[in-house]
Amino acid sequence: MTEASAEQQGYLEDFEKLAARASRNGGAWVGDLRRRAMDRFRSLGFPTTRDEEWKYTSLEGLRRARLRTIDTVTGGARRHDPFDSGDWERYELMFPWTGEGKTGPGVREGRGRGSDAGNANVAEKGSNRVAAGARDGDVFIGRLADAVELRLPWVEAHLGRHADYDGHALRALNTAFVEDGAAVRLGRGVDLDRPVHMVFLADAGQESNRIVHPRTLVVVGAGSRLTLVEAYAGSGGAVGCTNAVTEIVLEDDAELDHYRLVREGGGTFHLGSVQVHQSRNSRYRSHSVITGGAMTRVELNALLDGEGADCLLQGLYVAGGSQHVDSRTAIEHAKPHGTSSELYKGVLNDRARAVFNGKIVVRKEAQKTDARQSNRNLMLSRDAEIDSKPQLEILADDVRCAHGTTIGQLEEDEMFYLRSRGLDAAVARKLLVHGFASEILDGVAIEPLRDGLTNRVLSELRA
Amino acid sequence: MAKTELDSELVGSEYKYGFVTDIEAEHVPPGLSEDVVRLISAKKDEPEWLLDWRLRAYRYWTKLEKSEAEPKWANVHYPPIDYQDIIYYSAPKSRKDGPKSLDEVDPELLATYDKLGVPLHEREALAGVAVDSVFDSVSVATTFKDKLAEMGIIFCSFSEAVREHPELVRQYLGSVVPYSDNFFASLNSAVFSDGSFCYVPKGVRCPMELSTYFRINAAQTGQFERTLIVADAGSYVSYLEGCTAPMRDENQLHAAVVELVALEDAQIKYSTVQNWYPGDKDGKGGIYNFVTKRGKCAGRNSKISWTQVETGSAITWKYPSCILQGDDSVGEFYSVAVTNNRQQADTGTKMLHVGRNTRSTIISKGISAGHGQNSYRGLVKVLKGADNARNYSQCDSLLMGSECGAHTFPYLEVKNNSAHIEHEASTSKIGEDQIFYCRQRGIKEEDAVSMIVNGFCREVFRELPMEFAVEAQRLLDVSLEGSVG
Repeated sequence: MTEASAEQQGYLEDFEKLAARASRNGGAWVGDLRRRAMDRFRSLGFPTTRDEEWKYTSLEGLRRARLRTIDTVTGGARRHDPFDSGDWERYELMFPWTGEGKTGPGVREGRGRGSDAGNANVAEKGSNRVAAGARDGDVFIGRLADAVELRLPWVEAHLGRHADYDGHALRALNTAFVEDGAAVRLGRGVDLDRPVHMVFLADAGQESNRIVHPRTLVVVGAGSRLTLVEAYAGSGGAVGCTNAVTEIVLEDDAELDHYRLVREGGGTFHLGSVQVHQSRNSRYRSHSVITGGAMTRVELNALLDGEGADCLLQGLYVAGGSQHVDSRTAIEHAKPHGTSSELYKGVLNDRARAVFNGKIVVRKEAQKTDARQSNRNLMLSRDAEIDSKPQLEILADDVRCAHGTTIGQLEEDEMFYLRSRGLDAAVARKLLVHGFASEILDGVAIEPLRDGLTNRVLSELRA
Repeated sequence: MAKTELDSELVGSEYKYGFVTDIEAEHVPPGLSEDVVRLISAKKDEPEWLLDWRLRAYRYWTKLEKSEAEPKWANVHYPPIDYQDIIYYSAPKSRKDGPKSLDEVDPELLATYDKLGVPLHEREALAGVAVDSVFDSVSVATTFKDKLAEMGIIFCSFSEAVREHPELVRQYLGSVVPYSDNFFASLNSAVFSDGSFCYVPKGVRCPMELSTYFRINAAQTGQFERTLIVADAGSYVSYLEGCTAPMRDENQLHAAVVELVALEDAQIKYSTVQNWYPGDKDGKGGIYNFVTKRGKCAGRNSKISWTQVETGSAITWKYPSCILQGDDSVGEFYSVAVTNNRQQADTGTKMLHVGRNTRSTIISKGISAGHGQNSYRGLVKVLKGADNARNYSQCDSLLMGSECGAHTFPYLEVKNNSAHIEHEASTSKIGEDQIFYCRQRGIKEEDAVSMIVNGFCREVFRELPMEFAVEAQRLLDVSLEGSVG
């Protein structure tokens, strides 16, 4: 074992506290998983820009900040929905992490504002829940800590099995602190009647320099369908960090619409990592929207591990000020007849810097793969910066793969067209940016959510 | 054929102390040290400043070797290279050692010349036949040299340039690829044996393609070659490197450096056809071609264009690049890279936009067959001051067979919002419907494949000088032989 470096020391102390406290919860395997992951983090240390995966994104600020881990989720008063995501029927899970250190009742579950249907379908906290039409025990929507404590077999079967942390320090760190977060599982053939909405609210409160490690596990059973909204928000300007890992398992013929929204507070680091495992004929559709935060990096990896799996990734990142946004996707085709399609768009203003890295891997067995990827960037200011790195690694011959990247600014003639019709420059600009972003936002099927996101994207652009 | 010659040379060498003064020795013992660098410099009778430069490079390289050794980022795999097991200097081989006539040349090699349609007298030159029987090409070369001299064009070996035109060499050597650029460039800077030098004076348009076919000096420049081409204001030069015929060379590691400098309104067109020994079917042997090539568009309105057809070598690692420093300058990169059997290629380009209104075009075609692994790796970087920079990149890969791989690693870094950057890449195989279409019209399957492959590479071949283009097409057929059907 290598000697822990100074910046790892705080994490080690917090880890030992957690290990002592949480040793009785769940099976012994959880403790083992944490310990293995911590050992891995110790030997890996924080990545540096010499690391190819981190070439354009520096974690120097995070390393220096010596953050301490908040390991309690406190509930209590319902906080406002930071996304203004409007009025729609949903199962809601709120995770307000605060630095106050009281253990509260945990998740607040409920419905969207103005909706009162479906309460009967949500049973008591911490037990298995039943959705309309599903057999008992087929649906679980709740806290990961509860699912672990209840020793539900699917948790042990999947937690930490897909999000490989071997060469990935931040995933290792999250796994070392795996305790709470959301857990959703649908059994076979369940068509959940409304989306699941989970909100992770990192609110450092009185204290700053805090890090949280939310962990989410989603298992969609064979032939089931789920819509999931996973939202992260922060409030404070103090330095803090959300280091989230989401594991998603789609069994045969399962279908998931996944909205991942990030809007952290001004001084916050958001490091998110999503690992999707897709079985035969499963369909995964991801819509990622990133705004806010000092530094945001979201990695999305999908392994198409069954024939005929389909994967659609759409993303939008909007950054201004001195924000840094890093989007990484990796789609790995492991079995034949898979299809994937990806479109990520970025709008950059002021001194913002965006990084895009999209990797498509086609393994030797994955014949007849059809993979497409596109990254388009709009630079609105002189001082913005973009580093784009699409990447193809193809080992099968009977495939069609293509990627494209563009970087540019608003077209002069388009501006002229709008100006000639009497719109002022600011309005014309907004209209064009809206048009650019709407290709992604239009993919959001929940209408109130789409409107909320559109407003937010437009308000990010100073006139 | 060349193997036995070289082996006998190697066996004959032994380590002697005090060899520094032994200027008559034909070659130095294997291994690299400051003494070897001094010896190379002494043998070539180099001025003090060049020795200093070599030594600085050597010291830098030693530091690199200790800390991180060779760059590891490329998508190629090979056993570690023992740098102490390489002979860093051997005098150019005497023609007398070569075969006396074509009858003595490996028939397999001759058969390949036949397929490529290499003219008879050139075949002799390529196979290294003794000097008097290749009289034709030598006299042609001499005629050309006179003509060039008349126009003020300097085209000579690097060593000659150091002797005759030290001020030019000193001004430009390392100005594009500094000795500290990368591991292999440092190694080359320390031990480079020879190479070519070309200077085209102001306003002169070089009337012929400067080609290694008629290589005027130093036929056997060895494994650490250094080329420097300077095009002064308003001049134009087209330079061809390599040839389509297979070159048998027993130096496993080739670490060459090519530097181009284009001043105001000057244009350099640099074409390469590389067909070194790729190793056998199982990947045994073959050349490691680790080359640093870079051009600097130093002046306004200058242009550098790289065209390469890479079919040989076990491993190719090269990124002909352009520094677009002058306003309105243009960089181009056209490449066809073929990997068959166990060949690996990691090749591409870097376009560094520094000046305003700079433009660059990248067209890269990768063909993988057998167990070949082909990677495109490229960087387009637009610096803050590079207003209105424009780049278009297209990287297409063609896969033939289920055991090969095609990879694309483009990096786009943009710090100026007036830049307009487009990158496209695709991977595909030869469509069954395309083959069917040709077959239907009575074209043999093999010819159909060759036609389609040539069509795939058309955009690059069209940039080659005409004779070269025809040969490149044939070369492609030969390289892909047996990988179809």
